[in-house]
Amino acid sequence: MKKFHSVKLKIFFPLLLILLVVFLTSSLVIIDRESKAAKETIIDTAQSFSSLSTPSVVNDYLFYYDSGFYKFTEIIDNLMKLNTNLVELQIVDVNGKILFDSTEIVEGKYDETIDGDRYLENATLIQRAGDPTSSIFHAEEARRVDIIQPYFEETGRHAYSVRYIFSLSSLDAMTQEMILTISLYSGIFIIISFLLIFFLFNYFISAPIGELTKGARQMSSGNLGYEVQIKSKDEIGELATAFNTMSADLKLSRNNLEQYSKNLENLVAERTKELQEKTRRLEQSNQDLITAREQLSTLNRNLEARVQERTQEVEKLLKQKDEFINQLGHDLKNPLGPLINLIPLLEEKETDAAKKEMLSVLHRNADYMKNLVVKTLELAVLNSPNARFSMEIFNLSQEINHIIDNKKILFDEHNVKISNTINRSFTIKADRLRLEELLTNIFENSAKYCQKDCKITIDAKQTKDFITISIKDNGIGMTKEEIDRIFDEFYKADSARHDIQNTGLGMSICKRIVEKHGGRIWVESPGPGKGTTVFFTFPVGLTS
Amino acid sequence: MRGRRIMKKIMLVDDEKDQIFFIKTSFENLFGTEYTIIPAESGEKCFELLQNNELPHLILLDIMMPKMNGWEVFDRLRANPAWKDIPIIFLTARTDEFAEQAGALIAEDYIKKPIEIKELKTRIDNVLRKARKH
Repeated sequence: MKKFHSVKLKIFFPLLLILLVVFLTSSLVIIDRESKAAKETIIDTAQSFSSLSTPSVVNDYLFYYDSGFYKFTEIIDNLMKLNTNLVELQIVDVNGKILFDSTEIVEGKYDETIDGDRYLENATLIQRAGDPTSSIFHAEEARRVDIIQPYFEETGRHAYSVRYIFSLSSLDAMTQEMILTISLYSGIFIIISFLLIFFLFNYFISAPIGELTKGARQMSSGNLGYEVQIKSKDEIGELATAFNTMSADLKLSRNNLEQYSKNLENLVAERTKELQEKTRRLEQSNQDLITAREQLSTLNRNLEARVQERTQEVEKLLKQKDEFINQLGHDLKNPLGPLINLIPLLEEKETDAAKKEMLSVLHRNADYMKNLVVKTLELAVLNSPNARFSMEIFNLSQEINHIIDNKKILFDEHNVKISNTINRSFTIKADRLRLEELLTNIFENSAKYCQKDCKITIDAKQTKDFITISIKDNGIGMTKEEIDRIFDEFYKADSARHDIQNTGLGMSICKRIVEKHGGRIWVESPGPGKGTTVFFTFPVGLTS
Repeated sequence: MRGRRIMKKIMLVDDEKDQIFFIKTSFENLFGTEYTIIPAESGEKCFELLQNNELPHLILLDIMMPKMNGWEVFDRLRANPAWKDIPIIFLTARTDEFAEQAGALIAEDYIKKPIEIKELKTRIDNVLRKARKH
């Protein structure tokens, strides 16, 4: 009912008002015009009526005066019946004296003397009565028209006047009737037009709007594709067609959307499933990983334990190896003592040449064996990671002199002159016995490979942290190739000589010893026959 | 010195008879009466000899010995006021750092086996010369 309230009220009430106003106005105009026309007609009629009737009224008055107005009242009565508007008729003289008054007729009889002499009510009337022209007075408020007509005698004398009073009340009745009639017809007309408009409005606008509203409701409630049943070809029809198109489009769109949504849902469901699967797998992987890690951890621990075990084993084995080398050293070296010392004694004492020769061979081989055993064991000890050095700070020159003293036999044997020119203030940090071993090896080489007038010069130079010690000889010298290979194990510079004394390990031992002290060792020679110089560096001892 | 030779009494403490033999024989053959090698087969024997005889000029002490090793003998010798000034040279075939270190630090000298008699003589002479200086 909302639509009725909202649309119809807004349209019909103003319409109704307009209709009412139009009809009312036109009615009033018509009524006014009609009543005016009617009034004029009444007045005209009254004028002509009064004008025409005046002579006969006066004549009849005069005629019947003497008879006591016999029949005269009847005539008047008839006259008044002839014009129903005529309510009073007075006959006056020119002085205004009322000679006859229709209102004084009582029961069909008129008695002139009832009220005595009467005159017209006012001066104006009296003046008019005396006027030889007819006059009309319209008393609107009294709803009366007052006409005074003069009566002329045959002589032309103006002796009497007749006053007619017409009532306009019939006009009122007529007006009333007219209003009634007009109202009635207007009402009927208004109702009919109203109904017609209502019907038309309802048919052409409200119903389609209702239908459209219904359609919109249907659509809003989800019934897309709903078609409104409007067949008209007007704007509403176009609207309906557009609505239906929209509805169909919307339905299509919604179907597409639903399809899409469904697809999407399926896709989402699928993806969710995949994701769950992946998550599950990932969790599984994670679990596996944790297990693997635990296993790895266990393995690692086991491995660590085993590594530790192995390390201990290796350490133990290394210790055993060192112990073995030491034991072997002891066991190999002890028997060598008698051999290398007693054989030369025998050789010296022997007089038989053949036996002496045999003992000489034994002597040589025993010496070689001694060298080989001693140096191999020495190198083995130096190569062992457990090789420890007892580092001391001592005076370099003094220590070298001590070593030279100990090796006197060697130098005497080869007739070598040795000189120590080291600065007496130099101190080094080294293992004394290793230093002796190192120098012994170098001295042995120098002594072995000297020519004649052998000379060995020992010198040292100090730089910031190191002392470089040089042992220079005037021996056979070295080629570049020999220098390059001198520190290789078992390398013998002069293999052609079959030097039985040379094991080829001496310089390797030297290199080890120097390296263990954090220094370096190298050899220089200007060339074959020009002597050799061995250099090595040792850390400087702190001067106290 | 050459004119008035002093007989150098060298006590050799070594459990191996062959070692004693070759050292003694070598010394006798090479240096004649210059040195007298007094063998002692063990630490106990060494002490016994020291107690009952004239003190030697020098002791050659083998480290590797059964029952009482060279270190113990060394400690006993140094602990005795009568014997503490006798120069000692260690003899060892072992290449243990410990042996080398100890030998270098606490004894007068140290000689590695296999011993070459000439080198041993040189060392003995050096040690005795130094000892005389003191």
